[in-house]
Amino acid sequence: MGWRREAAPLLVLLATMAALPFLVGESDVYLANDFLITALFAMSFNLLLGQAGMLSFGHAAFYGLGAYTVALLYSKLGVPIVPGILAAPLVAGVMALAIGFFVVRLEGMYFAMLSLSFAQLIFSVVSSWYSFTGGDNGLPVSPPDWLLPTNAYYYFTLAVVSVCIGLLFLVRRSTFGAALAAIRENPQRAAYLGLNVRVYQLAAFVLAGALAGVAGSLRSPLQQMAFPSLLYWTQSADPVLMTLAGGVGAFIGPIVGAALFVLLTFVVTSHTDYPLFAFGAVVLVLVLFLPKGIVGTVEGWWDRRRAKPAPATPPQAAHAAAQQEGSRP
Amino acid sequence: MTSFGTLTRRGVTALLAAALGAGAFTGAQAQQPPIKIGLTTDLTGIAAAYARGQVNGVELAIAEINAAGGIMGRKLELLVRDSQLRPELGTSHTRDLITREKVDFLIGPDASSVGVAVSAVAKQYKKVVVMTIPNTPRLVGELYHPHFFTIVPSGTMLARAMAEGLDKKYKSIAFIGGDYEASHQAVKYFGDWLAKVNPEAKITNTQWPKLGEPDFTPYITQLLSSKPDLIFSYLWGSDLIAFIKQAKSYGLFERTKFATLLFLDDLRALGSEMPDGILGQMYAPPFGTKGGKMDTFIQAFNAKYNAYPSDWAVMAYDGMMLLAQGIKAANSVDQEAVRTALEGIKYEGLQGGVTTFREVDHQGNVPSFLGVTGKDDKLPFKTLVDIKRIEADKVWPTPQEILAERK
Repeated sequence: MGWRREAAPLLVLLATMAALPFLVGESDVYLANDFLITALFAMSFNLLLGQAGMLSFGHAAFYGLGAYTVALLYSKLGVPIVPGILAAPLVAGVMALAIGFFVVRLEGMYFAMLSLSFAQLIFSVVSSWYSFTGGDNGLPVSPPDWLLPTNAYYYFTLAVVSVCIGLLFLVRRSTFGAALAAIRENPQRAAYLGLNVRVYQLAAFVLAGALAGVAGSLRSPLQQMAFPSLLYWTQSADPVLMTLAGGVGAFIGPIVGAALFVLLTFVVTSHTDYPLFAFGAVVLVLVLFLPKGIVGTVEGWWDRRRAKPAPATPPQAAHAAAQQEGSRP
Repeated sequence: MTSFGTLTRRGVTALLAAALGAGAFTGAQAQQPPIKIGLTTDLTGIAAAYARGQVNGVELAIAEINAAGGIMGRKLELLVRDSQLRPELGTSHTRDLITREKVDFLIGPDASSVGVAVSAVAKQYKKVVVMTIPNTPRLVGELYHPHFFTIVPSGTMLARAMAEGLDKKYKSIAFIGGDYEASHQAVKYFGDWLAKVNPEAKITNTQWPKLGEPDFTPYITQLLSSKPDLIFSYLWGSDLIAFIKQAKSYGLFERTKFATLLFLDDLRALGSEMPDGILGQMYAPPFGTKGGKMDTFIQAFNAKYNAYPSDWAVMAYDGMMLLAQGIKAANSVDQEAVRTALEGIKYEGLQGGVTTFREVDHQGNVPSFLGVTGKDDKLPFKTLVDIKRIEADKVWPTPQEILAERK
């Protein structure tokens, strides 16, 4: 897949998001801000699942750590939020290194379960250490006056998220990204070719954790509060669902999934009495009819349309073939 | 005759608007826009029943105010959003209510965690908010801001009231509470107050089941093995119901005295299974106040919703009526004018007495109640008999204590 084809929708999206405050009201800008942060969280997760084939059920730990880094620095040491946001990926990254050291030794379901356990451990500490974290009612944090207006914080978020997604884009196209893809497709063969599988997986885990930390650090000033629920296991399920809904194989898949979930949550809880019913119905439709996710399905449809006149190996088929082969060592 | 004319015109306009499929209200009120009240509450999740009682209480108050002609000739309109017990949704919806729906005032959410989030948004946008369920002491402490008002007895007040109201004969006290912030605070404030009013009493055993614990057997045996004179429980909702059902089979209620935080919803859910003789502490039970406005309220509530009102409905109704009185007194929807009006308000509510707010933390001087469970022939569930009303000024933290918490 050419890099232009992957970069073009990103640039269109960036332009749209940059123009948004001129087109819609304050409340929608706030919602868009929520979306940007959620999108970065889901994108950082997909570096693990989509790129490296690691299904983590504990990704919210790093998201929450980012949020609490900003809130703790602010309320305990009086550090303003911008240095806090710079510190967040370091804290989340260091924690990801410590946890990753253990979890990358495991595979598949065991990896998922251990990452979940570590995340719940951190959640327990945060939610019950009342004197330090404020416990389950959260820890307040206030943006400075210049970031308080909705539009100002929106552009700030847009800049940070764009840089981070740009970084993920470069990683995906780098040799490091290619090595992760090789490990995803066939870890044995990758190891046989001389790749140190554990080190690559650990590096991906740390990078994903640090970027989730950035997303979290943008979240707590937006809500003016860090909450333990940001670290709870249900929060870890969100990026899994968003990524699957949007499309795990496509770079912008998690962005589309995040947009869907943020909008759906907001609309459904504003206007219906049965939000869980609505969510269930949407997930059911996605799983039954769009198993490759929204972006995956659209891409497939696009490729088939283009492939019709000249049925020479479409890229999607080649990709599928590679996957087929990969699953049988 | 003017009012007759207006009514008819409104009626016709409303019919026309409805026929056109447009919002009838906006059509009819084109000249006089309604005063909008925003309510973000947890209509989904374990506290959903409380939220429903709250919405009904506010709705009933608004219906009565509108039937009497509204305020300054303007009707009140209620906008409800579901925060699902998620603070981040509480923030999003409250902001949306302020910036998109342009609500004039906020009325309190449900869970304390969402209350904290809503209060932060109210602070940012300088919107008056009246809280009717959340009661974490942090709201009046470190998170206080001048646009915040509460008519809920705070966690501190309740825990102290429990210690205050207990007979001095209970010396050895065991504690059980869900493992979360509110009950950790409760046992602390309870213990501190106990040391003051009954210095010989000691907390000899504490148990912390997780919220939503299905099996209380180990906790029940632990509690009984310490042979306490009294067990103080901070369990509520489904946890309390499960605990009581399981503890009955161990004969816990025959072997020791049991004192618990109690919501009307729990009394209703347990029905005749609720043992007699339990000491119950309640926020604002309708049966805690006899006669007067409360009887009228219970009848009106029953007529509208075919149900007996809960504590939450009582406080929500009072919160809305009190806010309305503030707007009337200010004769404006200006936030600062209404804030000033509320600071000086003297509101005569459902629970008798006069509700005022104190300057230091805008805590309303609301009572709490302590009684013993028993049967009332007029109600289909157990009630409290022999009710003690504990006034706020006996137990609320002094202004010095509040200021010390904000440091």
